[in-house]
Amino acid sequence: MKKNHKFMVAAVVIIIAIGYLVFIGIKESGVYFMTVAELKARPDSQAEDGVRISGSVIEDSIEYVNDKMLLTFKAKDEESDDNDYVNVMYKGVKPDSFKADAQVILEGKYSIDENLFRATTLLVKCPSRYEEETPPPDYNLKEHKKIIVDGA
Amino acid sequence: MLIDIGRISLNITLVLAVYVAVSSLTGALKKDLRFVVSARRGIYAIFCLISVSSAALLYAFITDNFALKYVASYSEKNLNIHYKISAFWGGNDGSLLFWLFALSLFAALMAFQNRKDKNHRFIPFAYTVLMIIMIFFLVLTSFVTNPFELLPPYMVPADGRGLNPMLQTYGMMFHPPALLLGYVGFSIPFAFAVAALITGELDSLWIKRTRKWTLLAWVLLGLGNILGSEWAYDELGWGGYWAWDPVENASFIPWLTATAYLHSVMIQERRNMLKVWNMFLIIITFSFTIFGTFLVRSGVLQSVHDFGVSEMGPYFVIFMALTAIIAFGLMLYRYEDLRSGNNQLESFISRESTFLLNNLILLGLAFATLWGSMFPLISELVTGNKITVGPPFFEQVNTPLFLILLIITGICPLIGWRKASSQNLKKNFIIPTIFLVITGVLLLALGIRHIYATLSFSFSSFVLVTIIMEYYRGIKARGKIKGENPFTALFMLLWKNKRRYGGYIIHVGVVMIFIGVTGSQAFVTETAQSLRIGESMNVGKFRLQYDDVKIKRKPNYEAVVVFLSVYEAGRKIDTILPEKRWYNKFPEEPTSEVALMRSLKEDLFVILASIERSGTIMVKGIINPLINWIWLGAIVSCIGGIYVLLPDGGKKKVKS
Repeated sequence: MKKNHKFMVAAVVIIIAIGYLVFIGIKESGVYFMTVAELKARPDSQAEDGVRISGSVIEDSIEYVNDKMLLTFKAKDEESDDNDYVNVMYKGVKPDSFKADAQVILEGKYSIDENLFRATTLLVKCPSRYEEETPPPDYNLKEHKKIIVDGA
Repeated sequence: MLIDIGRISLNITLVLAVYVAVSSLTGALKKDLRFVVSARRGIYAIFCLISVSSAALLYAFITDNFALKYVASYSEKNLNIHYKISAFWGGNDGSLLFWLFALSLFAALMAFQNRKDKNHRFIPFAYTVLMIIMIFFLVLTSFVTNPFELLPPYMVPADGRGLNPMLQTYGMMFHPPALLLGYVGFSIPFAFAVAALITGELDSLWIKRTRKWTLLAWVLLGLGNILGSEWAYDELGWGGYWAWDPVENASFIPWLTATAYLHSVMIQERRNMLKVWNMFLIIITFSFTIFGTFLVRSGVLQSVHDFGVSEMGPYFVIFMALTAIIAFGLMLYRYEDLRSGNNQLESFISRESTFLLNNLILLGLAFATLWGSMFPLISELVTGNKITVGPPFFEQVNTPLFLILLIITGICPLIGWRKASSQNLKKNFIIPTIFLVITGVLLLALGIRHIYATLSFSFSSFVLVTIIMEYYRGIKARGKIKGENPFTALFMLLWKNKRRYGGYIIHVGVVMIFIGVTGSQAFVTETAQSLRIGESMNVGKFRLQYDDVKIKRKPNYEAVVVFLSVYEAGRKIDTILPEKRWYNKFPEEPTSEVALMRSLKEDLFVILASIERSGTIMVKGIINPLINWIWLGAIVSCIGGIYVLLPDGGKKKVKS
């Protein structure tokens, strides 16, 4: 029995060590995760290293400067109206699936004075979720060809 | 017509599964073999019926039957035939049918394997457990996510919506089935465990009977995970292969607990210890496979890739709760029996204790990964604020744990059972330790200051040397005793003791994966630049020159292909062709086709980030050192796994 105790103590020490690692990890890299509206309501709640937000991309607000790799757009909560938005600035490559109405997850810092979110990471939620009842009308190929670079 | 057959056979299966559950239970309780035989035949019939259902759905995909809502949502006429087949598991409904198919196949094989066993009551009980799992999924597919749901005639489209372009890759043909087969595979050891708890046949027999099932499931689950990350690397175009996303973690956690189980059962078989612990491990492993199946489909956690939110949530929650309550309840009921007759640990320096350490670390990894994934929910529940952690958390916490795991992989086989003598330690450890130190010093001398990377490579060399020594010793011993020449001895060694020496092959693969992960995580180079035709950019030691751009037209997509010449040290070594595709059915979701220049040393990973009408392109180039060791390591591990799965060639089978 005594021997078993010894092993128990060793196991507990290891478990505490792992628990401590997890605790420190959360403390150091945990950030608040909120919606755009929540962020605007409580801009002070972001930690030193920023905050993570989810929102949807407002149509016609997307601008991308190719050679500077600078993406700017407006994001809002899916259900709130278009005026309740934040400006987002992201430097980096624009992901393929990024488009109007896309659901994005952003990490970065928010400045309330400029209503500007400087994002350091930009994730687009996988667009494979289409659960609508009806399939869309057949797609117009002519429209499509405009998207592809002409000539070249 | 065929669709009706598919749907109806699914409905009959539900009735039949209930019958088999009742019949096997009756047989077990009354000890009446006639019921058990009937239940077994029922299991075979279920497999046939679900095969018919699956074939019907497959046929609907191949023949473009868009009257089926599921087919209309995930396929189109112009889809390649192999993607039409893989669209089967492209969505929620079909992947659950595939789950059922796998479960019915495994159940039938298991029933066949144990058909002659008349002595052990845990077998009919195991049938019952499997049938209960089956009934749950049958209820789901019949009433909630029926893949045979028809569209109203006026809504049947001329063409389907098409398969998401990201799923139109070879990776997506194999990753989901491997993962699902892995998930389902753990149902078998779980069913036996629960059955053993019910009957009280708590010796190692149920473990022996399910050993190969566990290994098969483990190999498939690991393969599924690796294929998924290979797919992410090839297809998603962000340069990485693992993002610690909740959905990825959901399939990684059961793999970790299963790895722990796979090792700890050896102690039970060998030393009659850890019965409680093994029960616990297999129950949580199975629970995590169900949890993983659920998480991907629930939308509970914010993930970048999941199926849409569906109404299955409550069903899964109830099923998981019931599973956990019943399984753990039975474990408590048998607690005293499980504890009795157990041997005790004798020394810290014994193989048992290193196995235990391995188990603790694996569970620690599983816990940290689970905790990090669930933290948004936990923190919201406790404080009202959602707090998330990203990849940095998982890297920070898991990297040291993985390193400990790696070194144990080397230490464990060197230490004898029960209690190792100091002579044993000295003899076994000197050479590997020398290699460890040499590797470390060499790396430092080469200017590598990444502490984790240095440790990882040094530990890897330690493990590899120990494995080589194990083989060497085995060969030498055989040479001495049987007078065999080294080649025969190696062959006989592998043949006679598949579990041990095949296990080492798996370890070699795992070490290769460690090497690949270390290289590609610690030493990655990334550059992005915009280029006009004729211009060039540097990515590490490579120079990329933008030569030309062309348009490619295929039946279901059009693509812009960019021609880039790759120069190394001023010499042209290759031309690579990253492209951007616009699928007809998904015009707003262009997808990038990565151009890869693979080698054992490194990958040059080039992606066409964007293209303007003027022809100016934005190119992202990444150098991922050693990354191919991950995929090669996975192949080696699989070979090792399959090898261990082969019939035992050694001792004569002892029928029990």
